Amino acid sequence: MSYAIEAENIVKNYGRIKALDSLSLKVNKGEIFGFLGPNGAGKSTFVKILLNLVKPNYGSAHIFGKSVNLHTTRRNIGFLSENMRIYKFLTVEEFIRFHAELFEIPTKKIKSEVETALRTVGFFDERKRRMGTLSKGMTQKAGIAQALLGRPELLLLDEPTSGLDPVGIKELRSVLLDMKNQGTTVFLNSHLLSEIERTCDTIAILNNGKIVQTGSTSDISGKNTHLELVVEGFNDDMEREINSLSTKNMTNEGNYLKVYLKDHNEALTVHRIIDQKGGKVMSFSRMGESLEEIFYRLVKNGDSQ
Amino acid sequence: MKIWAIAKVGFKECLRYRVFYFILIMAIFFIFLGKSCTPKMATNKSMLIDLNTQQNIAMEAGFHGIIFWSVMLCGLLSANLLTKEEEEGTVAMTLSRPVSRSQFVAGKILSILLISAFNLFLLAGVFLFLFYVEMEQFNPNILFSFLIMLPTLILYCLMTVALSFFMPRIVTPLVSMFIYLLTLWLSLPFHFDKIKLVWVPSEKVELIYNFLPKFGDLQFISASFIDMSEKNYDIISLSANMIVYTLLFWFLSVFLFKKRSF
Repeated sequence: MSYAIEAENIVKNYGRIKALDSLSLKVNKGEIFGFLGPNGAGKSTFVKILLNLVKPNYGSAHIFGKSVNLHTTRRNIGFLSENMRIYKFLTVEEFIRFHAELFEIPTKKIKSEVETALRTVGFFDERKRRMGTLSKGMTQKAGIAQALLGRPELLLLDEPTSGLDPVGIKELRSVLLDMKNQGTTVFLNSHLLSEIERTCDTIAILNNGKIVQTGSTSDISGKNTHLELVVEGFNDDMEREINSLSTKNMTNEGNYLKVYLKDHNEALTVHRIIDQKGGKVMSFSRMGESLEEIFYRLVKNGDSQ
Repeated sequence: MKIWAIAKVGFKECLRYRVFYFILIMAIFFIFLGKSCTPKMATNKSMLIDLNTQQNIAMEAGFHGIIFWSVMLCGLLSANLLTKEEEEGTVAMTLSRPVSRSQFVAGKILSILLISAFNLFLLAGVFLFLFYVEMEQFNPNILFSFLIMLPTLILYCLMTVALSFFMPRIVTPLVSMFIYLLTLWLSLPFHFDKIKLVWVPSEKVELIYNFLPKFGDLQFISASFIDMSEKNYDIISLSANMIVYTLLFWFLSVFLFKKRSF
């Protein structure tokens, strides 16, 4: 099976700094893939390797089965950079047209493609403005328009929401979901965890050049479900017995308990222990870990699974 | 189409540089200086040199002046050609498209050639017009002379681009211009017999002359079409020299650019 993106053992060093450390990754066709990581984790370096802007020291990467070293591979890619550097003297229309020409869109279709891309991001009325006069959010919109040109099979978006207002973010989300429905694979590099959680099917978390967690959004948060209880009359006896069933010691703040079970079928056992030891369960719920909690745990505590 | 798209944007960008207009004005100033040496303007009544010779001197002075400023413009723009794109980060956006690095370099070089040719023929037009008004005669050979100078601009552009990988932006045009003037100076005794009366080039000088790109030879040969003076030159060795250096600097530039990360 050929994947949209397939990277194997990618190593990239900048002098003594290891930007990517044996990174392997597979992105399925047609999914929205979220690539998360703190600043300096190596996210942008990986995107640059996919675009052949940076050569890895070791390893290989393929897009739709074709080596990223071939410039023809980029015929299927739309790219948006976080800090998009543009020719400021071009008008928005000229900028998009320039990219349409580079994208090898037939001359006859360029005009309609440029118009479609600009209308998709709601930027058609601004087409005569010079790129240098646009605000960051507007530049980002123009960048999104050029990335959408020719309906690419893969969209590589590096912090696409950067500079966009809430309306712009909502519109972008709808554009991405629309692209996904039409079979486009989206690779989203972002810090906005809530956005990733809402939009992405699969997530990879990168830290210090290594992938520390990967999987579907539900799988990742499902791996670390815990019980949240409010208990009256909680005591040390209960704590000892409950901890013997847990992967790690429970936490309690007054009557509020968090229990991390080895086996989720033991939830009722926890309830029984509390009852038997004279406590009273006021509320009892099973919770998944939010992406923010997962991210914080993996990145801050280096707790990879 | 991709190369042309890059060249069009590059051409537009060059038109925004102040240096383009500065050099254009300087070159026009020099054309007027050359015009002041034309027979009608000259006050030399002793007729030690005939009117025709005076006219040719004025034409050649104007021609060499235009070439000098065109080469200067070509060098200044070429020195910034790839390094500026790299510093400003615009190269990454272009290369994220299905554009190979050699196509990118070709597009950028084509933009310099377009602006240099535009500048050259604009000046040639002004030059021809002024001399036509002054002397009421039209010398079409001068257009041919300017046409022959185009390979020089291509080679000079490529040489400057290749050099820009090894030195700071501000130094590159100076080094290119030094090499250009050096080849011009070294080729003097091989084109003007009278110079050999005061300077007979040694074997070492001849070796350097043969080793360097023959910018000077091409310029003097081009100038000879203006006055239709006879010049003995080895067209095969001159063509071989120009072609070898053009290919060398092209492959070197592309090779070095392919090694870059953005």
